Amino acid sequence: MTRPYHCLFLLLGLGVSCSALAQVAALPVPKDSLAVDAKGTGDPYPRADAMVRRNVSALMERETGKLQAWNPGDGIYGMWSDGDSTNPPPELEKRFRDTFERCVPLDHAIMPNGFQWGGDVHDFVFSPQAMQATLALQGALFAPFGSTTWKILRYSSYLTTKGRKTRLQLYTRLMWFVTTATPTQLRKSVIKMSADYGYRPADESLRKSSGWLAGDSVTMLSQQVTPHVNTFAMVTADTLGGEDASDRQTVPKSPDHPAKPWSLNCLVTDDFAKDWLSKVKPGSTERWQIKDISLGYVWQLAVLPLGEKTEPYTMAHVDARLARERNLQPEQVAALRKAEQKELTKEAYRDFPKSRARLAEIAALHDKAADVTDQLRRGGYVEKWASMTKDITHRLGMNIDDKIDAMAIVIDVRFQQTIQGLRRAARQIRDFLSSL
Amino acid sequence: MYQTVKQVVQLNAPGAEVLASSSDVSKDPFLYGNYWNDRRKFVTTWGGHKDQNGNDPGGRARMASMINDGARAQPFTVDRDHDVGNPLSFYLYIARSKTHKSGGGQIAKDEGGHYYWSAADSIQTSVQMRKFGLFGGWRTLYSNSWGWGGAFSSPNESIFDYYQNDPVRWQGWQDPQVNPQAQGNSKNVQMVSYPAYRGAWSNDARGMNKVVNEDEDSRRIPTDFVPVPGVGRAAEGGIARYRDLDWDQRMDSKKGDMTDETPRYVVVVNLPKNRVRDSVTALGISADPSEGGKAPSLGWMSMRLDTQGAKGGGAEGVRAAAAAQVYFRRPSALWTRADGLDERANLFSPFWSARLVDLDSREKAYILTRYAGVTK
Repeated sequence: MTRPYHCLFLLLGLGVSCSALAQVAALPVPKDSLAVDAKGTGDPYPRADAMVRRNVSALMERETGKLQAWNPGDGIYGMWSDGDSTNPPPELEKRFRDTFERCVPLDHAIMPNGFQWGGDVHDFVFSPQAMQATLALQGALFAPFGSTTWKILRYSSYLTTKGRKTRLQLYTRLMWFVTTATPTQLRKSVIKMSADYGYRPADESLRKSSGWLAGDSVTMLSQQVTPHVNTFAMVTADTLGGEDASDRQTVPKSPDHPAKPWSLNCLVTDDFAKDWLSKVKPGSTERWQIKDISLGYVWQLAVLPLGEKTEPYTMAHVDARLARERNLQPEQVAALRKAEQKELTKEAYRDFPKSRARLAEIAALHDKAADVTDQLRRGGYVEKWASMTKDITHRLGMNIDDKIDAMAIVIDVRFQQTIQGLRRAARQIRDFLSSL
Repeated sequence: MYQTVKQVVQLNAPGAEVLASSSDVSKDPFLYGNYWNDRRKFVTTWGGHKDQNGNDPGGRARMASMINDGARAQPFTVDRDHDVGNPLSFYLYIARSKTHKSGGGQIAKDEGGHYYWSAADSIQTSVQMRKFGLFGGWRTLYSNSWGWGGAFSSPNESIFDYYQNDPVRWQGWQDPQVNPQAQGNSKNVQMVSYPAYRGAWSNDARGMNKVVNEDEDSRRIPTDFVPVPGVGRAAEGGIARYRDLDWDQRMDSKKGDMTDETPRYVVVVNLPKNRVRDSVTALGISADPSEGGKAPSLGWMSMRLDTQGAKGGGAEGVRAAAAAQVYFRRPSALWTRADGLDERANLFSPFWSARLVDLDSREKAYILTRYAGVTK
């Protein structure tokens, strides 16, 4: 019921965890844990925290009309929807293609309305310059893609749900890079460098699942700034070989070399990278080639526009949260965060009667199911099953009465387990509701 | 049924008597016999021991096509193949998640020629992202499927193979079918191919493999232990008996739809003379002072029914006969079949109504002779 919503919010960096109703070991949560103090005049986070909280509640109450935007003036529709793809701005890919074909710097690409190129790399996932230095020490190139300095493309989008526009707003920042690092090398560096900004890997449980196909090539991160404000980031890179059929269709080709999908000179333009690529590869007599390079991007999703102005406040909030955990053991840190998430969940339910009523209804249904199962068991279901099965097997000329009796005992035990399980679930939901 | 007839007659004509009806053998064995003979010929038993070998066209094929096509044709059955919406599906231009539900139930022949009910459902979800952000192809980060299913199997065929993704045997299954608009004889039987579980194998082979594998795991315990109860249909060849119209014998294009030949229910009613509503009893108008008439001048309006005199022929009252039958029409405006065809009469669909019909010549002759009172 509410769980998928919570998971979605986490993914969107909106800050409510998937651990609703989770059993949490008792750990005192600091009283002011859910409060957000302003870290100086101009701190946007108290407002952002309150806004996310209202939006989570509006979604829980299924009242999309009550959603609030950070700045209703600057969002675009069509980039974010709750179902299958809507119509994205059709010219977007064409603009990129034109840029590559004309071999102009990426940040000179004329973008549709609502997209802005900028050089403000503050309050980002990591410092690109620091990342460049770190990877260079490991013998790998990390450089801007298609421009001579680090550039970020930013836009803001609104959610369209069931074809209707809403005011749920996300701020997106994108930074492209080229690298010769391996996926594992890149992932390790990204986790290390982004930890300085309070980012933690957010893909651990996904990576343990059998359905995870991306290996190390994708890193998902989240940065909790306030109880409700999470900033989500993803870093990924992929080789420029163009071996993939889907790439050959969608990735633009150089007009000079139709056979080669990318022109090195157009895509790698800063002096450091050009110099690097003009040299011979270590441990090889060959020069660096385009197939050795990966193109990657950093994707940052936040509920408010980030940059130089917000960075001091972000860091102040993150530092305050980290300071709380500095002297704790890792298990204690995990328990503290879990307890805090539970408080957040409680808070969300406390103010919203519709959601509480839904939960109470679910508890009642569990009890009803337990009653029905109990009646079935007391009504002699298992005995009837055994005699019926014996009758069938006798007619088929089989004599396995002893096995049927043994099976009947097993079935009876399963009945009892089911009844207990249903009652336990109902009790847990009620306990949760009464603890609000 | 006789009580219902009496009640309807009493409500419409208080004091009337049911002289005969198709449901009262003691009053009129002839009408009764006609009706019940027609009815016996009209509905018959299919499946079970009546159709042990499952030879087609027969009950199994009929039931299978009604259920398989019916499930598709009835707008009130739940669609089992659809996308799952928010929050399991979302689209953020750079990343997207899609969740799709596949599957269906069917009644189809296995390799041994036995019909089996089986159903399988799967759900698959995937998360994809663009390789290069705002451009480039999609790369799948996460993809997984889950499946579940069930089958109506018989103890002596303890292993039931789901209709699997074997391109030779099971990619689809075939079944004899008669076009619902065509004449119901064996000439019109044609083999129709269906995708197994509504194409779930092509939508989500991984999920369907889980159905098959997990079913094999869970089956291991009961099959060498005890047969699962409720599947004891071995003697019936996989399908229990059921009743439906005897369509194979009775469908004749010259007579139109089979529904025009449904059994006729005839009622003959007698209303005693003194209960007949004439101008005196109904309106209080009478020209005869001896009957309490107050307005002799209105005598011209008086309409009296004289059943006592020479013209009356000696009958005790007024008699009427009527016939009714049930008929089947699927109202296409409300409940359109997915295939757009008309539907022949059957006992699987609920579109039956009753209507009054004219007495046919045989009935008229019989009723005149027996009930007109002329010969009495």
